[in-house]
Amino acid sequence: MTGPTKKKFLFVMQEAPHGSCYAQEALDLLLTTAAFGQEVSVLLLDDGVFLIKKGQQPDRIDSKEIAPVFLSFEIYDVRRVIVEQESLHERGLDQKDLLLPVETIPRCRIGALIACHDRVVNS
Amino acid sequence: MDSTHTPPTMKFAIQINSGPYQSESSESAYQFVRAALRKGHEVYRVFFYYDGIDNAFRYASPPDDEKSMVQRWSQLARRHDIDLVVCISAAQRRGLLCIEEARRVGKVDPDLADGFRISGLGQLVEAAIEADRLLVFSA
Amino acid sequence: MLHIMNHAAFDSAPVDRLLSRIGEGHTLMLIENGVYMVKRGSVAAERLERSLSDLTVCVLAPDLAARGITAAEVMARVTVVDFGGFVDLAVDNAVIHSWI
Repeated sequence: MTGPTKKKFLFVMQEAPHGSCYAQEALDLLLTTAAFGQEVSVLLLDDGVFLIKKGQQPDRIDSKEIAPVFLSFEIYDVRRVIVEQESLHERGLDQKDLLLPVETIPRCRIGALIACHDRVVNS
Repeated sequence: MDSTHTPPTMKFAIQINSGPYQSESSESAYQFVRAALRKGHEVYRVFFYYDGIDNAFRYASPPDDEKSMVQRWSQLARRHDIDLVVCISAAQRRGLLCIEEARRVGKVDPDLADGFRISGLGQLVEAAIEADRLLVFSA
Repeated sequence: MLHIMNHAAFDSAPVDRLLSRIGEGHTLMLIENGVYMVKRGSVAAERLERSLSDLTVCVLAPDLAARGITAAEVMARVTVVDFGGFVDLAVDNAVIHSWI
């Protein structure tokens, strides 16, 4: 894909990693979008922040690993992982509990952030 | 909306993430598509993902006094030549197979209703890029 | 920008959370069970009403009717639209996000 067909995609992820297969399929879509050469960013809100919590052992419930996908983002040229500050704090989490360095932004700036993308995909 | 409001013709990409017996989202998406067509817009593609693939089961057989979402989609595809695409990985996970795949695994019947086709996630990404708008209908 | 919300919340926390995440000048389209939020006298309607200086609220007519919410029960300064109006909103707003 070249020039004018390149769009800014934002994936808004609000669901925890292991209660459903939502995260798995959302990440499949995200990586496919990146493979199409699109500009992909990820916004983690609410329980979505648990996606990148350290120390997950999904094999204990016979589930596929979700978190390592986030570590492969660089290969796919997924540039930004943004986390809402309030979502982290409400869940007793801090940057040090997360698998990778992230950008944090306050809740009141979420609307403006979403609005500066071309396509928004929820999951 | 007033009658002087004459918006430009647009291409819509629609993503449906939930089944007809799970939420109202299939109904909302269907009514949105019909309204967009009535207004002269183009529906570039409707893509069924996650449990949205439940909209494409050929043998869904609701009682006579209930609507059949599957039949409505098939009819819409026939009348307006709309591209209804079911995600292959989501479909296979949930046991919805097209005729070729059904044969390959030794199953007799195709599960996919008329007017739908099964393809990859790239079809959703391409639609999101090519269309002017992407609307997601989820549970 | 257009925000679509298809479920209702009546505790103040989730309503405030949603409203904080909607930018100034954006439009909120309530569909499906989301339409319950415009019910006059509800906590949600009260919160929405307070945000109306920054935000336009639209609600889908067939979803209201299906749920027995009459015009008199809809809070003030809300635009009631049919599916055609919903399509117009999607035309007018280049960025659209459906909240889950």
